[in-house]
Amino acid sequence: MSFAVLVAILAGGSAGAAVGRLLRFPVWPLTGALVGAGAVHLSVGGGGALPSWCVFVAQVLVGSAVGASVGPTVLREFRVVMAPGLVAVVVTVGAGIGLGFVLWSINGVSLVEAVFGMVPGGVGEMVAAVASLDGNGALVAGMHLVRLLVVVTFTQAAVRWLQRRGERGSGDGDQEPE
Amino acid sequence: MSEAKGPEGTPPHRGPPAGLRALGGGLAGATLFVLLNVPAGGIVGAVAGSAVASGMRGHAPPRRAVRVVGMVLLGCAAGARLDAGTLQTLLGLALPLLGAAAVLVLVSVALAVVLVRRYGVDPVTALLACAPGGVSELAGFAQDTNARVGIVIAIHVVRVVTAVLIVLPLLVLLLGQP
Repeated sequence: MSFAVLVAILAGGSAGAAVGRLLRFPVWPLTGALVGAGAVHLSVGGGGALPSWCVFVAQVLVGSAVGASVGPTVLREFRVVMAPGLVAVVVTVGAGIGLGFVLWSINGVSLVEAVFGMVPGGVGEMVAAVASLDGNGALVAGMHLVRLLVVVTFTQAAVRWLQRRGERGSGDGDQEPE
Repeated sequence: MSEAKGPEGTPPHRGPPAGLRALGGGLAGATLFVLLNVPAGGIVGAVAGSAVASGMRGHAPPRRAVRVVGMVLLGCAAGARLDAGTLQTLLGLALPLLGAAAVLVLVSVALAVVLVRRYGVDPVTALLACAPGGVSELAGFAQDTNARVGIVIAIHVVRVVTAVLIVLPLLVLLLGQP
């Protein structure tokens, strides 16, 4: 990839991320940059993947932020709900892996992309892993985007429903709806 | 040179920028794991190195911008691989993906019901903690709805770290690609 194309893709990605933030895309830094860089790539061409040092830098930045978040406070909070929390983590991640295998078997997507596209273990982390396996990060990011849209939309609606039900149940009519 | 606030509103202090330890640990871990040819060593090593050097000792995490820059770079890397074939594959996967995401949501609801009934966690906290993904969005909802933010974030951080440090290397080994 030439230097000019690299700069164009990085600029397109940054602009896409800014637009994604304005439009409140889920995980806007990644999804917005994907759309922006993808648009530049499709219109300019220039082929090939980003240099491997770029991906390495990205992995260090994202990975360091995740690792640093495992602080004493998180561990203390997790201890309160350790048993059910672990069950939730194992079941959720296990369900993602299982669904990835199902997608692979019925849709002909490659196994790496099907599984990493369905494991709910952090979009950036899964895209980074696929990048290091030379898989299709764009496909995996797109799959996670669909999952996040469904999860965030459903959870938001369910939380509002629970709150309305709670207000009705407690007979407290003073609180204003959002 | 810089002033930084501690993670829990501690007074500002002079010293190295917040998160430098995490970044140093992440860089060292990623470099080591890549040199050792650990599967997906970049991301796994960065998480492990940063957790050991910073997170578990309670040091301040890197600024949010660090993760944002990393995610934008990953988005650019994925976007540079976007082509007509990928878009076609995503379109063909739309329905199965929606179905798979719906299954994940149902699993998360079942887990939330268990948290509520057996462990006395309030329904909104349980739902947000068990939702499969979207940590930043869910943490935002948790704050807006007075849920127990600590529990929600703790379970999601443990999910992502489990996925990256345990599931991801296993998957890479299982799928047979270095």
